[in-house]
Amino acid sequence: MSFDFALIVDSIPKILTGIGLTFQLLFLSAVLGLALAIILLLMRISGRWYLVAPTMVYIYIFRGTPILVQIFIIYYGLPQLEFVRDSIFWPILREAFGCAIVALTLNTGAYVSEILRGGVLGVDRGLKEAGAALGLSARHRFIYVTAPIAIRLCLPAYSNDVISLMKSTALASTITLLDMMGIARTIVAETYAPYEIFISVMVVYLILTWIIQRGFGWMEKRMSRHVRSEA
Amino acid sequence: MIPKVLDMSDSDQTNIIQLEHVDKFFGAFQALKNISLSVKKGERIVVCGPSGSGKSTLIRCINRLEEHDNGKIVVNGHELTSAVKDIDAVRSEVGMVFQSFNLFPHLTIIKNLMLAPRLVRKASKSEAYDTAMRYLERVKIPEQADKYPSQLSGGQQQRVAIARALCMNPLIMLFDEPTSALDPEMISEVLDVMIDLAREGMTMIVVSHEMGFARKVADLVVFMDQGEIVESNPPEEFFDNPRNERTKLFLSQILSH
Amino acid sequence: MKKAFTLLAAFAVLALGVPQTASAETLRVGMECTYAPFNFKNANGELDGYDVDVAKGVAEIIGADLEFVCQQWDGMIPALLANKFDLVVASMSITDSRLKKMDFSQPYRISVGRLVGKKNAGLNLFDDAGKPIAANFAGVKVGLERASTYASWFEAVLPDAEVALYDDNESLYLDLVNGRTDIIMTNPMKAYLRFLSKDDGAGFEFVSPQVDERKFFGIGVGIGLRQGNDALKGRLNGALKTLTEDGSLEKYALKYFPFAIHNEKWIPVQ
Repeated sequence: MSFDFALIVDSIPKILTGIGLTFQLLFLSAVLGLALAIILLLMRISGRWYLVAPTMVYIYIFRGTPILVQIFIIYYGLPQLEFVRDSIFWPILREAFGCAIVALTLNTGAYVSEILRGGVLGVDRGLKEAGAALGLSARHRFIYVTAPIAIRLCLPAYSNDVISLMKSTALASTITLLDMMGIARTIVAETYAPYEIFISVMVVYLILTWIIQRGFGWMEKRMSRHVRSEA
Repeated sequence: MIPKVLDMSDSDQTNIIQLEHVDKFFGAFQALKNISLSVKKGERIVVCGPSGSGKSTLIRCINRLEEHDNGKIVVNGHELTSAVKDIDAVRSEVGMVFQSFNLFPHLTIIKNLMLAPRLVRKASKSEAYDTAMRYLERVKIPEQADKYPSQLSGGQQQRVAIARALCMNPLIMLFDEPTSALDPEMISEVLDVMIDLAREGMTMIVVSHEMGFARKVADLVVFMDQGEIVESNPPEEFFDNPRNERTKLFLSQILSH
Repeated sequence: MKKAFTLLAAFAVLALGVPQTASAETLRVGMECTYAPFNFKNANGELDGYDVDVAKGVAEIIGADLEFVCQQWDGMIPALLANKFDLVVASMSITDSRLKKMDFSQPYRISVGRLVGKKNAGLNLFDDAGKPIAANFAGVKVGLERASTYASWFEAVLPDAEVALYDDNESLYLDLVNGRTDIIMTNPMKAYLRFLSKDDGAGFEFVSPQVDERKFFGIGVGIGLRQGNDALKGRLNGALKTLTEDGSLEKYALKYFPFAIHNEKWIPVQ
């Protein structure tokens, strides 16, 4: 096999023209997914069966099926239904970008809500009791005691989820979007040089992963100052 | 010697805590059996007994960290039921100190102290700060105000926990084995703070095996075993003339220890 | 007199025809026999299809007998070179790499692209001369297969068009139906067979003429033969010219498609 390094050098700038779309997919679905995850979490820990049951079903479905299937169902499946095309959501679902954001948000929301739940469950019961004994309301206990501690507990798992979300954005290329992967696949289809092009795109994704890891590492360090002992 | 509140002289005073025939179950296990106990304002009760005797459960029922199954608990005029509207308001009048301190690890010492006054009492920042500093001085660690709990020794943390409860200006203080998790050399610094508190007339229920402390400050020592109150008497009588065999056995074990 | 002349003519035909039949040339034709509607076995088990009709038409004109050989696609060229048959009439496109190993007749089917869109949308995308009107493509979402010849054509001819790239032909139709794209460009035969002739395609039609630019779409499909057979190639080309001009090719196509699939004017390539 001849390996064309010049092609890698040539293709990276082309691939980078898709990084804006990759970032948009990542940030929008991360933010919306986190908001969804918080809502799901609150429903899940509400203790009311009519809120808990649908949440558990939702989480089970979205964690138990491949995200590619979810993307295809949202992109190709939903428009088959007439009422979807007539609904107020159609302007979003008509666009491939909208479908990708919806799919990534729904998927990451399910995962993150479980991560958050793990964090909330990981908070020492004694701390919640201490809050209760001081007369803090359930809401205040959650906001000022449980949540801040849970966030610190969740951060490592959450950073992993952001990285896997970043990797999942590449699946948007299957529904016509020209993110980095979409551009890479188009170049491959034109040049018949899968090794060079996919290795280039791999390098770019690896750099993004590294940046995300470092970012969360820095955040964890800052947020766990309280655990460092003086000694 | 601390002046003790005598039953006779205060007979007209209403009970600030009243338990009548309280039962508590954990599944099939009965943790409290027909407990009745009344505490008057300013009274100091020390509850002792072997582990698993239900003494922690007893005081945890008083601020409803555990919900009792039968009987009646009245705290400061509010009966604790599942319908009790503002359990948070009742709790805010009842301070509690835990065996494992339970300081909020993500907040500095001063913020641990300011949190509840700010949120529950709606105190201004400077008010809450002043109160917090005053109590930190009382427990003799004002210089630790800006540290995190993990940077303090166990004894220091427990003093902070007491100060945190006091910042709410409670009518009653509950202590759940406050010195059991401490290294021996730190026990006295915590007990000293508690003795000071007793001296000032705070109503206290203390679950503890510190018999010296009980002798010194308690109006009443309550001995529990297997979920029941076996014996309750003023300390002189309790220690010098125990009546029940189980009490005698317990005292012999704990005092020879 | 008239009768005598007819008789004479009949003799003349016999005189010419008999020796030909005697030394009857038999051409063996390779095809897949499974590629409907171009070459396939019909319900009666007989070979049928556009390729088969072309082969039969050519054979009739050059006066040869035919023997069909069914051959899998990946062994088609080796079998031709190994003299297992003489001609390939199997919808094989004429490409540079194939021309290095074998020879081709003039195309009997062309490669073109054609736009499909909603019926009566009034898009008016091409002028009467068959040239695209770039301005009318503004705001029109176009669905194309990734890295297809159609995508190259759009990039070169209509670089400002709003294009979405798909991984397969089926997705093109899905999103056209779903309303995510307004038009698609693809092979008109595929579009007809897989979409326009089906229920899903009922509301859609071709909205452009056939776009035929050899630079993008290639020369088309020809009859393959071994190199160094220029005489045979000349006879094949002559027959194809006749079949083009007498309307036979169109007739063959109309059996399967509502449109012709060959170059309607005989313009030899080379």
